Amino acid sequence: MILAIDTATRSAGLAVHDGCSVRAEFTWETSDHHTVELMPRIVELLDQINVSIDQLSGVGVSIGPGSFTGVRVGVAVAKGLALARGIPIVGVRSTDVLAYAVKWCQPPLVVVVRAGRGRWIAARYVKEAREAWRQDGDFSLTTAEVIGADWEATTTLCGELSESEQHTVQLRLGDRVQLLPPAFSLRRAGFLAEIAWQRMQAGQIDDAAIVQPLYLAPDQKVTA
Amino acid sequence: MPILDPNVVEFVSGSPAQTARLGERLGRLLRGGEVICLEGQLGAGKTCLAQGIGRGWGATADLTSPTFTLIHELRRAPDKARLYHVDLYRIEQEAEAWMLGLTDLMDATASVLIEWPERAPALLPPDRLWIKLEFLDDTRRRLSFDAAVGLHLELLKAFKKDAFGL
Repeated sequence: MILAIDTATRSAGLAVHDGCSVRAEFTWETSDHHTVELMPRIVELLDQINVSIDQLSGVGVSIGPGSFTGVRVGVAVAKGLALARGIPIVGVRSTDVLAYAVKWCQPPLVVVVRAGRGRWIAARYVKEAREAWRQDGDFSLTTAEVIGADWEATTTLCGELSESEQHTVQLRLGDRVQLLPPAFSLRRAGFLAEIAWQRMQAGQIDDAAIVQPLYLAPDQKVTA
Repeated sequence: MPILDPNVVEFVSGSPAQTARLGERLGRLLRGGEVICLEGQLGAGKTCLAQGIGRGWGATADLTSPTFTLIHELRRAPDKARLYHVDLYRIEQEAEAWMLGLTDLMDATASVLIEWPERAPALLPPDRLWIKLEFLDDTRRRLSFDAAVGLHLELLKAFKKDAFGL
């Protein structure tokens, strides 16, 4: 049984996965109170399905990119659990979680998470035939006003877009962009748990002492 | 008061009390999401202005300079709004300001006051109100308010109208 923790942005989530199914999942919008909200919600989630902390055999955590404090809160709690219980930890990129949820989409795919002040951190994903998504290139910093200027093929865009941002992007890019419905753009901890579970099974476990938040350089410039 | 540049308001304050009153007027106009930078040497009146802003905004406690704590979070009872008072005086490198989580504060719905903003220029958004305080003599200070775009330009216009009837 593993616990997945994602507080990378204002959209936070928790899930418990037993390797076969998601036993419980909780996604909510925080108002910048990750620190006070996270621990009680973990307790509540485990209580809900009568699972005690001793039964956890691993922790999956979103390492970002995302908000500075949000990512740190999740990573700190996950590391604390892993070290205290002596269980393995797996760090997963927040954008990988979004991409995993839309694994049936046609490539190319661009996933965005909020970076503050109307900016996004974007990651581009590609795949060969029926394979899993693979991130293509590095993260970029972008906005609804400039994203996609260099897209050649119709690109699927998913992630944290407000209604007005969706409108802006659709208007600017027309049929060069395919927007997904809000539920597919939600980062759900159930998917994070599944990725973490698979990695644990494959022996791709991280060192709890080394897992750290994934941040973009503070002076990164906005590009298309 | 030169009013040639619509993005700048200049004013000479004759006393700390006057500086604080001006701050109060500005504080009353804050609705959340503002980034207000206070530049000036030690003793130029940054904290005095910040205290006025805090009072106008509706802080229940007096603002004290967060020189050692770096950030103070103030809350307003009726609507649970937040005002962050940040002091970057003790910051030596921009990366340290980033490590404070400054970018998160400036993204939230809170209003943010930053003393010694020149210590972390790259972290500050282009849309902000920049207030420079300069010594003229023992009691008098020149205050210049500068906003280039967006929310803060609107704030500056509202402030100009409210404080000086312009």
